[in-house]
Amino acid sequence: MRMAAATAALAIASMALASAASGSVISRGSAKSALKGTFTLYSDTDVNIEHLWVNTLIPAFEKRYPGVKVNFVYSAHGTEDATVLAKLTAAAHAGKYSGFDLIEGGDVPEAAVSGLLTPITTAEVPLSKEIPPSDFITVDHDALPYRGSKVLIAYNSAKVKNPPKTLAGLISWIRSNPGQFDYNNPTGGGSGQAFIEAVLNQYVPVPDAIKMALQYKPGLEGLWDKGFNELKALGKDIYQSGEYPASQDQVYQLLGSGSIEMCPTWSDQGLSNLKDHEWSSAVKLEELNPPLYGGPAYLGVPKITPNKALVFAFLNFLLTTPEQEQIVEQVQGTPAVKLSYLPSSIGKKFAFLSGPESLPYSAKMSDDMNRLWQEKVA
Amino acid sequence: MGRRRLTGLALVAPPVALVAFLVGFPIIVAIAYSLGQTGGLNAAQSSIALHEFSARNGLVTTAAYRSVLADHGFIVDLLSTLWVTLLSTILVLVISWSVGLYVRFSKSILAKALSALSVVPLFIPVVIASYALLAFWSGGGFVKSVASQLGFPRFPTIGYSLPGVVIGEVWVNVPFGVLMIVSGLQGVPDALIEAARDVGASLARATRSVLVPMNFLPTVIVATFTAIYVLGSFTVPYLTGPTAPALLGVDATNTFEAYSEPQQAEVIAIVLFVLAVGVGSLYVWANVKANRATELAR
Repeated sequence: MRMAAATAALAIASMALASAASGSVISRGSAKSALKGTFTLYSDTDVNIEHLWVNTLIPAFEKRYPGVKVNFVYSAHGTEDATVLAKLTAAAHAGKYSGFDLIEGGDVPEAAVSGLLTPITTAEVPLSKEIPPSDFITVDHDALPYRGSKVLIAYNSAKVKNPPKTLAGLISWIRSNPGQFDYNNPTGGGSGQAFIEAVLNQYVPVPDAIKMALQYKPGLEGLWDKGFNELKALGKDIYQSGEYPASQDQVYQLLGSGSIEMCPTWSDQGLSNLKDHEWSSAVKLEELNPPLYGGPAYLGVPKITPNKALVFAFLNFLLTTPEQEQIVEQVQGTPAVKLSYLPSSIGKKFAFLSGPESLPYSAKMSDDMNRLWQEKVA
Repeated sequence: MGRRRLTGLALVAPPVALVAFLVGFPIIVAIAYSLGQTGGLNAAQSSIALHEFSARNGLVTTAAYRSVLADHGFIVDLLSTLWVTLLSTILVLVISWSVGLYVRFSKSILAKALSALSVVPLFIPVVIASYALLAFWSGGGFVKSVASQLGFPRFPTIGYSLPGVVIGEVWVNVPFGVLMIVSGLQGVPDALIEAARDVGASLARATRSVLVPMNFLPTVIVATFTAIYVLGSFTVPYLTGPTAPALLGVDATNTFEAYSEPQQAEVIAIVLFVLAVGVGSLYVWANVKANRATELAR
């Protein structure tokens, strides 16, 4: 009995010593740990990213900064995008706090170029120096990329022995294999939209394509006519003579069930589908040359928010190596920081995505493109 | 008498005020926006809108309406919505009456099972039902596979098509129809049917002359509720419908979100509203007629 008590006392004493020792390590960061409060993160993305936030990134952040809580607001597939943008605009006009401290989604680039967001430099987020500078162009330095994804072509290698390597090759493959390719309605997600933009861009001079990516130039939309004609003519060789499912997931299911042999896919969603066995291991991913569009996913900080200190700490936290590794691990996303800052295993994994990036059209150009596609092609 | 009326009005005032403020007032603001009032309460929405028509001199402008109603794609969508609604309503009525009459005249276990089975779709979420219907009717689905095995490889694929949307809408609306018609038919006492049979009427004649007129109101209720539901439906046509033509619910959503044209989306919503009001007025007329018949019978 006495022995047990003595051992217990020793154990407690040694634990106290250990925690005191580690306490001194924590105390180095005590200035950051003194952060307290709650901030609201609004995310409009797909379910895989929702799980990334709720199961991985936010708990890790709250563990690192125990005084800070993240209020996570999720909306699927951009259904609340227009409303959030309207709220931000109204709040900015009135000079008031909109209720959002951090936003993620398809409308962040548009909010950035409309001047609704806070500029982000290395003064606010020190680790942003590890991100390639070109990633900041579309948002004019008013938002932070924290992960990335590119649109690739997924194909069933058991049926497709010689996958096409270029867009022209892809189009002639579609013509010679009617009904075996499909892409989603561009309102449903970027993978279908990327294919459409690539076809349209074949007939748009490069300087005009760059204008379409960075600005809203409705006068240039006449340049899309040839591309839309080509897409319309291609329609009869698309699955079910021209049926474009409303969501990206339905297209992935068509590939998984063998109804089609090839489709465009985001790199992170494609790798996730392979990992979850929604696609058999015969499905392979490849990048076209030149590639379909892709790029970073952005987080934006509205201009007026009382929680800037918390949010900037959060953004910096997301760029640290363990969190970037989690992004790769959980959703197969491309890390935002340059690969040289990460372990070499990750560098090898993403070596195949090393090609140049094509820029997607700006938000308003994409809106007009969606509408014209529905009119002319669907 | 005056005090009782005042008390009644006072009790009814809070919920009416709530509905007026949360529903009625936004509708008025939306109608104003569609007529070109892009300032004031509509300013935030207007700032992100593309291809907007503003009313000059502060008055109204019908430019948005003219632009939408002149669009060929919209007219095709409108006509498609109308025929899908009509066909779905007719099919729901036919199925509800068939099940109702069978349950009314047959006491077998099959009848009871049929009435229970008809209500099952009520408990299955519409999204899941849509995906299930797609899997069943699509290119690699059950129906097509069986047809291929039986030697009909060219059997039509009903996934992602308007007939597929009709099947989905009927599936969703049959439970309500069956419940209303079955309960309406059960409410007719056996004595009335027997009295008709006693004077020599066949079962069909008894049905036509006794059951149908007495179930006029439930039939109108099923027809109007189904029609209004299908007019404004989104989930079934979004998931199982073709890319074009799209039903108006999907069209309005795309116009608002994907094309960033909130004003045009309001116009489509108001067109739907007018159609629904037309259908709803049938319901009101039927109720008034039924009440008058009950009063005359007293």
